[in-house]
Amino acid sequence: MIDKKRLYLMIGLARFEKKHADGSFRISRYYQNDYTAFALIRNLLLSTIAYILLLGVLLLANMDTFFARLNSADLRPVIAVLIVSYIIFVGIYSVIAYILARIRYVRMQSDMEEYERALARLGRMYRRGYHEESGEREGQEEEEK
Amino acid sequence: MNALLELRERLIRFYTDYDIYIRPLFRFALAVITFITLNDRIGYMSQVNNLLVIIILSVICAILPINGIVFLGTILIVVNSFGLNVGVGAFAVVLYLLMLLLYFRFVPKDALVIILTPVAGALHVPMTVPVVMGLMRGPVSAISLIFSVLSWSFVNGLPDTVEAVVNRKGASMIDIVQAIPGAMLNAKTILMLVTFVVVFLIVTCIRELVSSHTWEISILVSAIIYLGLMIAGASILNVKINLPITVMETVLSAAVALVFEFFCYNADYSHTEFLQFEDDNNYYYVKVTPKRRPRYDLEVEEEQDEEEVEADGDEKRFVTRENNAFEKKFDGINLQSKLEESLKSLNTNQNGRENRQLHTSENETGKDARTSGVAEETIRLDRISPEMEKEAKAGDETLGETRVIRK
Repeated sequence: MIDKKRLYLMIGLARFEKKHADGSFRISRYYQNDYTAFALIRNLLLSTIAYILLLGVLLLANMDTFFARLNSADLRPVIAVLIVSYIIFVGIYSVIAYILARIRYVRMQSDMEEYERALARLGRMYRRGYHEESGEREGQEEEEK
Repeated sequence: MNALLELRERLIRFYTDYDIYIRPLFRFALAVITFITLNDRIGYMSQVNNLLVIIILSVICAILPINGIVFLGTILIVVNSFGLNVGVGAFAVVLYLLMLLLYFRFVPKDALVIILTPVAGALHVPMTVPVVMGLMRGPVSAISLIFSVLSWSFVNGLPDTVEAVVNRKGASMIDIVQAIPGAMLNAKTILMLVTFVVVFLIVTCIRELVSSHTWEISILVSAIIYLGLMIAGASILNVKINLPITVMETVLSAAVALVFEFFCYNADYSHTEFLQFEDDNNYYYVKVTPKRRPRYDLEVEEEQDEEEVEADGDEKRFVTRENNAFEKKFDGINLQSKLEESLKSLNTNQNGRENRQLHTSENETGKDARTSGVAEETIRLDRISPEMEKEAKAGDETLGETRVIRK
């Protein structure tokens, strides 16, 4: 006879696994610092690409002004503006990426805690069922003897 | 009104039963409408401006998740831009890459709006986008709307302005590429941006109010504000708008939003789930069909909230069953023992509803069939006895069906 309580718990766990396969389960494979570090490295790469593309678009739109400035001898202010703007741009996106990574990790932790508690409860149900079955079999063997 | 609500409940029930077929069909239909509209507006590449290509792309979108439409729609816009001019195509690549890298990598769920806004504009229902976004998403999605307006102004600007520059004699690549930001960032785009964001924020605010008709009120108020802002903005920013067409677009958009509200307000579109798992003894194949009850009446919802049975500990998240009026009849009765008695009577009955087949393995000899054979049984959860099932059919649905195969 299938234990309905155990079956409901297993169905709930299976639904949770299906729903969070790409989310919490994927994140749970990392430590918090590693996950945040990966998020920041990925953000650095993508922000750099976005900055270069944005610079290219602004350059194309203001090509005449840019070439006029390029003809002047002193390029240092231009380079300084580029570097400072890059640092600010990447800095803002790094803060956003860091905050989002922390929020996702904390949510994953609470999800996985509840999942593991339910899994432990399921394990206790199985052990209880096994002991009951083995107790019944021992009883039957004693009766046969 | 009751007939409409009944129709909606029947449609929701139909969706719950056949959602495996309905969702790909819906994605296919949406993809076909999107791609045909885009090709109609900017069909510069003859190789993709073709019904067969659209059907093939739509079939692919039916298989992929909803963001497949975003991906293939963006590819279509870029390819058609290359068809107009290489510089325009390169600009399109940069534009959509920037949108992805600057914002949509954080919120991929909102990406559909950058493709649907040009489509809604071409179909003369532009106000639908901020209204539906306001009803479904939070205030931060205003940024998605800004990007969607930029996408719309790019798609609109190609045939209106950029094509003329491309076809002009002596136009260089730089002239063409420099004409695009001018075509995109004009007074009309600023007017649309401001109008969309204001309408979106108003809908978001009204939706949060405590009332059972907030969605309808927000749609009507947003229509009035949209029209007012368009007229006022056109006079302030010197933008030429066709007033009768603007009024018609507003009315059409409000009608589409009301249809959306009818199907989506307080409706539970949870679908049938198929699960598969195993333990040491059995394989389990589970079909979970959600129970449905009418939710349009707020008073019924409040009564049911009072009746909720709170589960404790980890059961609260994973095992959720609410005692409804039918189940309350059996308070104090030991259902487990009654279930066992009815199953015993079914075992001796050849025409019983639960089928138990015992197959013995050909390779295993001399072993007890119970320990070595494969037994399969189907358990319908929540069914207790034939007499109780007749009452159950009157108002309730089964939780699900589990097939258990013993190892």
